[in-house]
Amino acid sequence: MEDILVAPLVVGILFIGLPWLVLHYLTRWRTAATLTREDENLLDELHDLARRLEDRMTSIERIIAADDPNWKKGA
Amino acid sequence: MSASRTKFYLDKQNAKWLGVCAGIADYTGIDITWVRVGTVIFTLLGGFPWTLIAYWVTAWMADNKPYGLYENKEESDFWQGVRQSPARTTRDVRSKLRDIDRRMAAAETHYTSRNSRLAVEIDNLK
Repeated sequence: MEDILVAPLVVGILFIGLPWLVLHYLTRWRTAATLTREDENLLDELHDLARRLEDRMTSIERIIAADDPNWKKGA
Repeated sequence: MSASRTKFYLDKQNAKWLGVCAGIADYTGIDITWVRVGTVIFTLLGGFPWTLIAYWVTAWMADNKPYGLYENKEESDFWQGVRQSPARTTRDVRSKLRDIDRRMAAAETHYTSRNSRLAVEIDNLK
């Protein structure tokens, strides 16, 4: 009598419950953590842009400092 | 089209065997020694056939790291940060741009206020 109940339960858990669980978290992981190709390229470009702007800014600050040595105090 | 920098690669340049541990270290930024020691300890503590199987499957499925994927250390570190947390890296880039904006504004005010100072100096000469 018990076997009749246990067998469908085990089969249900094993073949429906577990794949469900795995696929559920797999899809969530895929939607949450992935960075698309466009995101990656955009981030690369922004990072490069920020680096170049910072270099330019540093050289501009150096030029201003050569022009007026105590400009940082006045700002 | 360059290769993806957010993928897992086998790191053959730093490999001891097939480059899986070196790849994990390169991907996550964890020190390579700890990855190897951890793998060995985990294998000895009862993961015996499974870690080996996982190692082989990973070595079989993953691509080799393309040669010259990063131009320099700074770039490689940056992408390691992206893999760890894209949100944090994006915030870092934004704060960098804001910092540049602030410095730019300081330079601008310096030049606009300097003109008035120059005018005062010219007045004094009269």
